[in-house]
Amino acid sequence: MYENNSGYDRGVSTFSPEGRIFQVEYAMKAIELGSCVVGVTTREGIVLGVEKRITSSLMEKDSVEKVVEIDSHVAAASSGLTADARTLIEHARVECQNHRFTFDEPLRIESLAQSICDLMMSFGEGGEENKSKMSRPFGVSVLLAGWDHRRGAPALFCCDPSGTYVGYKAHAIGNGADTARSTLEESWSETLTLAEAEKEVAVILRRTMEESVSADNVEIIRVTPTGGYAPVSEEELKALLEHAEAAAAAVAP
Amino acid sequence: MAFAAAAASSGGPAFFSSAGAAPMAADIGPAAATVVPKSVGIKEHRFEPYDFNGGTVLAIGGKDFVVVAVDTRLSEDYHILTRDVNRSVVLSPHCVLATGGCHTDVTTLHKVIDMRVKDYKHDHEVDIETHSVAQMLGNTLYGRRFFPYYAFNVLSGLDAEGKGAVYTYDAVGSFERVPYACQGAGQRLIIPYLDNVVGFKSRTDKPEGDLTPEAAVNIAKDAFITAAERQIRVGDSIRIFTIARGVAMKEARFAIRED
Repeated sequence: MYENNSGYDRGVSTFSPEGRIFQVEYAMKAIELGSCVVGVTTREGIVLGVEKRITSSLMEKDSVEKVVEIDSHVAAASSGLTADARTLIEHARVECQNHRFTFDEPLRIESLAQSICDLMMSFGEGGEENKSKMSRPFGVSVLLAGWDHRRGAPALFCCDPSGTYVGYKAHAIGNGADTARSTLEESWSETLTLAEAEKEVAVILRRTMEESVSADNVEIIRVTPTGGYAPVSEEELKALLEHAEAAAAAVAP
Repeated sequence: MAFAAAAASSGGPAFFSSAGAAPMAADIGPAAATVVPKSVGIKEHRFEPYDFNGGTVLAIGGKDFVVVAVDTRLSEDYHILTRDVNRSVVLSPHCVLATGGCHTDVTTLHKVIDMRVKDYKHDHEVDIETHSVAQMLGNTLYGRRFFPYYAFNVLSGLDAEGKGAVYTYDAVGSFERVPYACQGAGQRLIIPYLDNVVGFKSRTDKPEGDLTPEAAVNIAKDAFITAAERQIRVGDSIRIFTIARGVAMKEARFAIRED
């Protein structure tokens, strides 16, 4: 970024002369420091894999929750400031339940992404009339993975701190996301099965993570049209990670 | 002001009416002091927000279609206000709401629901499904639990599988999906007929094969012709909507007796 931002990075309500809001761009930077999240869509369902940072052997591994259920048909994982993500997750869950109450149907994933982004861009120097406003951008990106019942198709959306959302066939955010994305560009195809996608997610996490992968620091979940949100069991996860190790060994003997 | 001044200065007239001040007790004489002439009697003013303007709605669901019929007579007491009123609203290419009751409530409710359906389309970029309209209409009615819309709704459309769906409501939003329904002024005359010829209730001669849209339209016409014979609020004409899978919605008019 620029050597001298001339003070234009101090506030979130002033554009720089180049037309940028620096605080938003810095927030994007915060995400690159976060742990890696990978999502892959297939015709059978959608897979979300995350890296869990276990920084001490004294940490309770289960207390680090990286992938969460928003509703029975959507999962979310975030990269960046976890505390900020919790606000967004709470908002997303309420939106889903409200929609079910009003319309007796699951909320579409794109609509959910839109509603999260509405909250994400409602930061600013809130005056008297708006006390609940965040004074700064949210420091997280959220990857939403779910099943769109209206299209009968998987949906993967990424919401970023600027309040923008984009739909993807496969996507990665956080640490090592660039490597993960270029791998996905090569490997993703229309005909991918759910099992293949799970393997691919394990392989990518193995490649991008600094720590060696194990059932303790990796979490994989799937969302299918019939089963909804379903975490991959520990045995299945171990098998996937073994596959990832074997694949890596085969490439680099 | 005049009242206050008169009452204060002279112990003035006790009552006012369109005929002016009521005579004071002294003018009538002591014997008549307790008798208040009828023309100046106390009138109790009540808030009467509801009126019943008639309206009968009928819907028959089939395997891949639904037929909706609703009459066009707008009445108030023994008057016919118009023979050509619209009590229905097309909410989406596969969904119609038709309503009897207090017509001002009916039009307002239709506007509210239509607005919410359009909002849904803008928010989610797809047409709303019939069961979602059903839930939303139920919530909208329940939202007025303590000052209800005086409106009796039948919501009809195709469901997500393309089957005919009919939902029937009470005024405060309790609803149910049913094979066929009738609400409003002619309800008590029409429901037994539908039970017999659509529901085949207590009959052992239920025919093979499914009801066709044409047969359902004929049943709807017969039902209204029959109801118009005995119920003064039913008459003039009916609007008939036919919503079938894979075909555009059709609307037709059918005249029934006007007296």
